[in-house]
Amino acid sequence: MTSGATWPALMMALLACAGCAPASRSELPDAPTGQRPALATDEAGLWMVMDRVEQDIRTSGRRVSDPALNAYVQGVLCNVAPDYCRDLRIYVLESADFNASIAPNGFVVVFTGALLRCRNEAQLAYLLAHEVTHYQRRHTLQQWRDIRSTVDALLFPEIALSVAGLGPAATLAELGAIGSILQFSREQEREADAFGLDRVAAAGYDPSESVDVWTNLMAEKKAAKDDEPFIFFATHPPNAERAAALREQAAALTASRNAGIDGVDEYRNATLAFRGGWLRDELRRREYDRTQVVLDQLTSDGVRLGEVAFYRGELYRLRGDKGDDQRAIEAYRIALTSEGAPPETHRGLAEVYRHGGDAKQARAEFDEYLRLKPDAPDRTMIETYLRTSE
Amino acid sequence: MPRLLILVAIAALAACTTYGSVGLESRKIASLYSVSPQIQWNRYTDGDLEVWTVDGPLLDSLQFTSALGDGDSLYEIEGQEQMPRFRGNMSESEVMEFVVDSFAAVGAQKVEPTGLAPASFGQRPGFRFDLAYQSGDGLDKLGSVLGTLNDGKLYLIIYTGAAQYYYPKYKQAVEALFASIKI
Repeated sequence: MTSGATWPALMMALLACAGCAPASRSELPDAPTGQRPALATDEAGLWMVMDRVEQDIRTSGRRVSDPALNAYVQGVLCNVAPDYCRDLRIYVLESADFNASIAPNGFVVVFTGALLRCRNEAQLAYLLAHEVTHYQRRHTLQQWRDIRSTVDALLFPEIALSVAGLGPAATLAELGAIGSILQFSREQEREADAFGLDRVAAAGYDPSESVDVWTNLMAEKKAAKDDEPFIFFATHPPNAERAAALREQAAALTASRNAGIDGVDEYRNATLAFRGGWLRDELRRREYDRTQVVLDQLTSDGVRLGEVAFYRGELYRLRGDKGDDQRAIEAYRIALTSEGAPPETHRGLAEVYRHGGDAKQARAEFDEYLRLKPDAPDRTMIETYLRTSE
Repeated sequence: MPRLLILVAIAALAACTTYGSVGLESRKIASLYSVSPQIQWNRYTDGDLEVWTVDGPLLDSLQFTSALGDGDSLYEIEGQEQMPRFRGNMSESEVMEFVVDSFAAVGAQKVEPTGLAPASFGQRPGFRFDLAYQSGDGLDKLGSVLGTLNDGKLYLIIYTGAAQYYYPKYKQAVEALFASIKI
């Protein structure tokens, strides 16, 4: 297995290059429904490139194949984009990054990291509606045409594919954002927010939920001490100005119609079964400060708190800072008195007790773990420990 | 040739991996143990990893770690600090978790470990487990990991291959190599 990711640098170079272009409001008519661009056009060339990217995403190891989850997200997409429902295709990809993107040929990528961070259906609806506006207003095509003065447009598809093919760790799927590889201008972002929020309200969702998406992300970004942004932030910079504009528009929309629903029950029904796996992916990033914010937000939701507390214990056990073993024990203990703690809570406790030399407590917790999880992948090893540590 | 192309060509050559061959004679690894290779392998180094392969590392790969100590990662990604790190007080279960998370960090998908059990690492007590996962582009892969913890240091031998054809093709040779370890 090799390492050495070079694609982010190239991608950022492209983004920077796109950023050189003068921002301009899209002068193109809206994307038509139910038809591909004429073959002799530059737009058809862009679609062809994205068709090849979509083919790779379709067979990617990152693709979440669960039909119910995909159908749910597609359903929300169709709620906010009934006009384009038949033209847009959802792909849910496993990645702890917060990201959603749309390609000019109509494939929509949603990372599980975004699903983990949405609190309800209205927030997911806002994310999707925002992306649909990029499609509707043909922002990528507009940006592509704008950068012709800095990059030969005929070369761009090849550059894009080269970048996409360079990912040793993530390959093409990680670049689900390739549809947004051209950084949108601020004006296009504002347009996507404004049009998107109209779609959210028209679909009967509470538009004010969009504000929470950004304020939660800003809290997470502030907590993360590293400079590495989510891919999404490269194309959708979070800032207070944006949140304020959304808040103002949401207030106007809710004043002129019913407040709309947040769809929290529907969202939990569709996603809660996957949350544990997404939290495990989140922890694998080893970005503990960022993950703490996510766990705090989930704790405030108050749903299946045993699971949330378990992953907080896992965070402390994995981080291993001074005092973390005790913090882990406290979190695991809270998990065991709450709903939804998995059997692995006992394994986590056992490991921490073993670190501290408390073999008796460790054995008791390992015993309980094996009792609750007969098919544990480490059963034989733990049984050996139990025999030899007496 | 334009100057830019020459520079690109030189840079590409500099980045090339240098392969050597591994003969059938016993070979010393990580200054701790030796193995009998069983078959002809090609070898190269990737950082502190020694990697052997027959058909190319995307199809089959046998990795030997150096002695991993406190704070060491299994793989390195340039510019990425937040990698899973080994700690000297890890149990075998936690080492398995460290390997799984390291695989995930470099792009492996749906990594599922199975069968963690005690195993001999030469004359030393060790452990082994198996892996099933997908590469980033969706290729099904399998893996077998043999390791030992020695004075707070971790030594691993990681065999991976495409589930169809390549992993089974060299599995027997790898099992014999595992059994040939001498400390």
